[in-house]
Amino acid sequence: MKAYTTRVGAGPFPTELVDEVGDKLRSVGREYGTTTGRPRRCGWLDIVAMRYTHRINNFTTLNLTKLDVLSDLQEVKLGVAYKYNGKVLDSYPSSLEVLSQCTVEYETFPGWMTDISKARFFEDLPPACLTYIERIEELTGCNIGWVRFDFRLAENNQLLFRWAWVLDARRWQFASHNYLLQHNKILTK
Amino acid sequence: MIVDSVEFINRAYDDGKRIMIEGANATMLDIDFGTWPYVTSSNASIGGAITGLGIAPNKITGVIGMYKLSTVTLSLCTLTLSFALTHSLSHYVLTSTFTLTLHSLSHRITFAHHTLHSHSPLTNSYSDHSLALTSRLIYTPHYTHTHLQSITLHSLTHNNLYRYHEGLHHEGWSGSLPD
Repeated sequence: MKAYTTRVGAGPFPTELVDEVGDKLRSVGREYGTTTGRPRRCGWLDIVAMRYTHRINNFTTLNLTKLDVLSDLQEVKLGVAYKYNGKVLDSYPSSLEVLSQCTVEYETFPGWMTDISKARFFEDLPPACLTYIERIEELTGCNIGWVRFDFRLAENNQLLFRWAWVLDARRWQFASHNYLLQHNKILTK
Repeated sequence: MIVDSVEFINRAYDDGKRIMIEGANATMLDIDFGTWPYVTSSNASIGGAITGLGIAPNKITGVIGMYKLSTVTLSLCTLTLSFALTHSLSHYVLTSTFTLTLHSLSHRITFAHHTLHSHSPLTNSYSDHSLALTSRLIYTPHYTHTHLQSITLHSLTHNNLYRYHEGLHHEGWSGSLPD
């Protein structure tokens, strides 16, 4: 799962960003169709859709990718609920018409504004970044076992690395546990 | 009643309800894993439960296969034994702690039996009554007009369907089964 949401082509996209933030996600994350070159629509991570897919697939673990694309942002948001006619929907709407008229409730987090691409361990990530990750875990009810970064091109245009780091699930849990101990938190799920 | 079935089934699962899913047709009529082109238009094996309901595969805790003692088919192809065999597997999916059932359509069995009876050289070992025994008797306990002269048992596992050549021939029994 990307740390934000993209969609190619037409269709409802409640958390879509049509402003400069969306443009930034598109350029930093290189969100263009692989074959057609079509620019992908970008938006905040859609937790409602995520929960729905979790219901369908019952993931045992999530792999959060392209987290570093969000690094430059002042604030990051999670779309946590859909509202239709002023009421929060308790499930993903099956009607396209309803879906297209939904508004989204967001949770806003301060951006971490740090280059995290050199992080190798969970503890290396800035607290704001960890907060974002753990909130995704809480909201989706699914453990994030891996975090993967976008690949970056070096100045000489060579592929510097494809996977900055991959954390296996046990490692993550270990690190996460340490983090929680240090911050005197208890995981609520 | 029209409901959002994904929400409906998964909420029931989350609530710890016992869920019984009933399939239809049979594995060998599955569009992907059956004897194409003599298949139906969808997945009649276990995948159909998942794609049909939007319930995750790792939520399924049990799968019960049900098949008849005899084999029937509705297809209009020339019947051979192996073809006939391939159409007899039905699958039952069990989630949580309860059982579920699934059965072939009765009228289809009747018609299929007729087809078998007319065209299959092996029909003689599949009596009308054996069909009744295997399909109707389960659901209609008082149907007791079973009078089997012989029964042929075949290995029905998916992997060896096409390798099947000879069945195991067992002595049949005569007379009515008890209610």
